Amino acid sequence: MGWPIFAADSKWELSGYTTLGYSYESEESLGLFRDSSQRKRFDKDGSFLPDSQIGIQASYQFSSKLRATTQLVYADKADLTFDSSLEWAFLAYQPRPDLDVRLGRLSVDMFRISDVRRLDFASTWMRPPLEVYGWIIPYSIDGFDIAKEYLVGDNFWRVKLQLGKTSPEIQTPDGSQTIETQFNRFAIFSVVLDRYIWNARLSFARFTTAEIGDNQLGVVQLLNGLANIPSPAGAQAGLFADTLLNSYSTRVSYLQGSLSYQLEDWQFDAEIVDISGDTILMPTGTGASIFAGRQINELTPFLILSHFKPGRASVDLDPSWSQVPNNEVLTPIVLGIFNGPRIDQNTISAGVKWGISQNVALKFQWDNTKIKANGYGLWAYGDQINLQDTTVDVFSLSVSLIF
Amino acid sequence: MLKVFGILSTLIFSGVSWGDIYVVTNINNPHDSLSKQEVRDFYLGRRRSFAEGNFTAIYDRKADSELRAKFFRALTGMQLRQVDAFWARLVFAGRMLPLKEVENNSTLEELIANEVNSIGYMSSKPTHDQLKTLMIISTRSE
Repeated sequence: MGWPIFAADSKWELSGYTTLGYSYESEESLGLFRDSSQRKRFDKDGSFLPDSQIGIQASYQFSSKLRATTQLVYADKADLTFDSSLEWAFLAYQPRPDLDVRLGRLSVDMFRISDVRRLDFASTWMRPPLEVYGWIIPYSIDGFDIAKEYLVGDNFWRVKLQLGKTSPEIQTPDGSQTIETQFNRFAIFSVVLDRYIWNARLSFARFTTAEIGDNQLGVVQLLNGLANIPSPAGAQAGLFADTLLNSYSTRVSYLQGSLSYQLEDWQFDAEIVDISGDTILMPTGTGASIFAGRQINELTPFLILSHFKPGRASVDLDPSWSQVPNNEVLTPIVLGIFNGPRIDQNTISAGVKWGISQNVALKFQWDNTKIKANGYGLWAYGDQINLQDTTVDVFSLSVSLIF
Repeated sequence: MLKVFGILSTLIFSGVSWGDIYVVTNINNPHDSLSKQEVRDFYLGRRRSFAEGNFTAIYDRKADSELRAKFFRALTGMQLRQVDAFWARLVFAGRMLPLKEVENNSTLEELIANEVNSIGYMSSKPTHDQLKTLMIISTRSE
C-alpha cells in the first residue's frame, strides 16, 4: 500500500495513523468531546484534545495462518494508562482463507466503522457523527471473535460473532469524577454485504450493565429513605430508587443498520442505531446519520445530518422536593443521575476534505447542534448550567495521515 | 520540440497510458482466467484464495505509480486515495495485512514464478515462461 513504515517481505508490519485537530465550540458553559471515553472539560471552548490522537499498529506474521497484532493509541481519555492505551493485542488464526478467529483484546465491532473510528484519514468527515458514535464508550473488548466470509456470485458476505467484556472509565459531565463502566457478557453479531459499490451492514449487540456498588447502593438507600416522606416528592423518590436499582445488572441491546454507496466521485452513507434497555445509566434511544460527499479533484465537500431521539422522557422533580431535607444537595445529584446520560439533539454539519497527498488529508468542518432540554449527554458541562434548549456551533480543523 | 518528443515518447514507450494491464499468475496455477469481479475481489480484500482454498500471495505495485492508479481505476472505479483509504480501514480494523508492494515487472515475474498460488498485474505481457495471463484489463478508455 505504500504507507506502512515497513512491510515488504518482512514478517513484521508496522504502520500508524495520527490526527492533529483543533476544535472551537461557541457555548461558554459547554465542552466538546469526541466520544464519552474522553475527559470532560466544560471550561474549554477551544482545544486540541478532542480530535488529536496517534496510533501505532504492529503485526507479526508467524505463518500464513497465524499472526499477532497490537495497536497502541495515545489520545485524550478519562484514564490514560498503558492498559487503556493498549487498544488491541490479539492473535488471529485463519485455518482457511475465509475463516478468521481472533483472541485477545479486539476492536469492538458494534457499528459500521466503530473498529476504525479513530482512523480519520480514511473518513471524509472530521469525526464520526456524535449522535451515532459519540456515546459509544468502549474501543476494545477482551474476548474472541470468529468471522466467516462467503463469496456468492457478486455478493461478498461477512458474518461475525464477537464475545467478551470490557470496563472502560468515563468522567461525569463536569469532569470531577471518574467512573468505571462495565460491559459484561458483551455479544455482538454482525452481517456485512459488499456488492459492487454498495455496502450494507446489520448488527445486533447485547451486554449486561455493572453490578451495583456500595456508593450506588447508598444512593438507592437514601432515595428509599425519602420514599417514607408523605408527599409527592416521597413517592417520586421511591420510584427513582426502584429505577436506579433496576438499572444495574440489566441487559442493554443495540440494533444497527447501515448502507453505503461509493461510485467514483460520489459517496453516500446512512446509518441508524437503536439502543434499548431498562437502565438510566446510559443513553437509550435512536440515533441516525446521513452523509453525502463528492470528490472534485483533491477536494471533497460534504454534508452530514445526524439526530438522536431519546428513548425515555427526562425527569422533572415535583415542587415538593423543596421541602425535602438537604434538597439543595440532593436535587442536582438526582437530576444528574437520571438526566445526565440522556441525549436529545440534532446536528447539521458541512465541511471539506483536502487530500494533500496520498496519505495526508486536511479537513475543515462546521457543526451546528441543537440540544433540547435535559438532552446534554454528548456534552461536558458544570453544575451551574441550566439544561434548557440551546444551539452550539463547532468549528474544527485537522490534519490527518497514515504512515 | 523537446515537449513534442516527450509526449511521443510517453505514447510509444508507456505501456500504461495506451496499453493494457495484464493480470498474471504462475503457469502451474490451475486457473486459466478470472473475471473482472474475481480480480476486483482479490484486490479489495474480499478474496484471499483461488477456488482450491490455499492462501494466495496477492502482489500490488508501487503505491504512487501510474500503473497502480490505472489498474484500480479500471477495476474498481476508485481513485488511488479512495483505494488507500479503503485498504487503511481493512488494515487498521485488524482484518488484513497490507498487500505486498512490488517495484517493477521483473521482480514481480520472479515472485510469481516461484509461487503457484499468486496473483499480480503488470504493464506488459509477461515474458517469463513460468507466468501466464489470467485477464487483460484495457485502459484505453481511461
